[in-house]
Formats: sequence, C-alpha cells, structure tokens
Amino acid sequence: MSTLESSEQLLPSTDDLMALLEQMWDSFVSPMPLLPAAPAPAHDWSTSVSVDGAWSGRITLYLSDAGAQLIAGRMLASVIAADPAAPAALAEEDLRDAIGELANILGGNLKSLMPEPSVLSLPVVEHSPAAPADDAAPRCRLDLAWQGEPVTVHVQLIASN
Amino acid sequence: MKILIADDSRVMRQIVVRTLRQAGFGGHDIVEAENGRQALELAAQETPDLILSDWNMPEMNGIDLLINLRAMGSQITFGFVTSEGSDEMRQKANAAGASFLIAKPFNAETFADALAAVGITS
Repeated sequence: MSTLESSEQLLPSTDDLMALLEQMWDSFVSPMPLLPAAPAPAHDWSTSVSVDGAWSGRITLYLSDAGAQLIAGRMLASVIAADPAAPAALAEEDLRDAIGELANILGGNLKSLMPEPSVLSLPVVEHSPAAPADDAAPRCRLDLAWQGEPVTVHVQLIASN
Repeated sequence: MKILIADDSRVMRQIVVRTLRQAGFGGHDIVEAENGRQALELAAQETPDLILSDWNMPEMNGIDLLINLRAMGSQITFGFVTSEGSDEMRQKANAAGASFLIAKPFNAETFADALAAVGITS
C-alpha cells in the first residue's frame, strides 16, 4: 500500500463533513439548506484552522463577499437587532470574527472524529485567498451553495510538526 | 445570578447570551471576557456564580483558566462551551474540575440540560 493510499484513509468522508457542516449551519446560520453546486471559479474569503497531532490536517471554508456578509449577518442577527445604530453592512472585524468561528467549530468537531491526541489552532481568516489547491495531495472537498452563494469546504492532510 | 462568558469570539459570546435567553436564563447579569487571562481577572473582581468558557483562546486557554481558578481555591461552577467535544476533552475537563462541557454547535435545550444537571434552573 502506498503512503498516499494510507493517508487517504485518514481523511473524513464527505458524508461526515457534510453532516458536521449541516449541524453547524442549522444551529448558527440558517435552516435554509446548503445545496450541492459546481466548483466556484473563485472565492473572496477563506477561514481555516489546523489540527496538529496524531492526525494533522487543515480545514478551510471558502466564501464569496456576499456569502460571507449574509452568513455573518445571520450569526449576528440578535446583536444587530438590538442595536439601532448598527450599520447596514457588517464591520470587517465582525465578519472575520463570525466566519473564523465557523472554521473553529468545523475544525473542533472534525478533530473529535480523527485520531487523538491533537491540538486545534486558532482560526485564520484571509481576504482574497488562493484558490483551493487542486494538486495530488489527498483531500476531502465539498462544493456547495447557500442562498445562491458558493460555499466550499476543503480538508487536507498536512505534515505533522 | 452572575454569569461570566469567556470566548475570544464576540459573535460566539453573543450567541451564548442569546442561547441562555432562549433557555430561560435571560434575567441574569452577564460579564464577558475575551480570553482566559481576562476571565481570571474578572472572576476575582466580579465573583460570578457560573463561568462558561471556550477552550481554545489566545493569551490563556480555557483549561489553564480552570486550573488557575482551582489552584487559587475558587470553587465557582465552571462549564466549557467549545467546539471540541471528544471523550478525551471531556475527561480532561472533568479532571480539572469542570462541571460540564457543551459542544458547539448547541441549542437552548443543550444549555438547559447542562445547567439543570448542576442544579442551575431558570
């Protein structure tokens, strides 16, 4: 058995990843479903966490500008409703905070499914990120849409430190 | 009752406050901390009755916050609200003196059940 085949066995299944994503979405974003979609040509935001230990990987969520605004707006709905002075568009700090938390939740739940012990990083949020790597490394990827906006989730094994 | 919520995400602190309200705990005083170090200071200043803390935070994480509190003799009821809900994390939390661990994502029922289990009712 090659190293690549061994590594692929350590990736989550797309079914497990989808179940985690749907549970998180339903609790914190919206009961409106995430739907399968063609791979998006580009994304505006990425939010990722890494897991390092007995299982080491990076979980990244890619979003459009409009999608990130919609999602963060849903997560902050109660805050905005309680503040009449809140601006129509979310502050970038709040947007980064909200989508960073989504990566944290996805990563924490995924970490629990994989071999332990391992350590979860703090989330990293980037604007204008590089596209998801389409190389030969083992990965698990979901291409979805929510409210017409692309939502891509990418899990990739990384070398343990 | 006074509740101290420690999470580096303001959005998540607000979601926790909203969920507490939905679970029937809306009338309590809320104090917020951005990390474990700030929570440790506020725990001494504000003497909360309950601490709800994230695990993974900058400056000081949640488990170090709990260990420091117990080392200082504090017996404040402490629960984690974290994305990491594996058996290993629950055992670590329990061994350090946490009363419960609520895994994200959660809902109002999860909060009501966890708090009722330690004798806190709305």
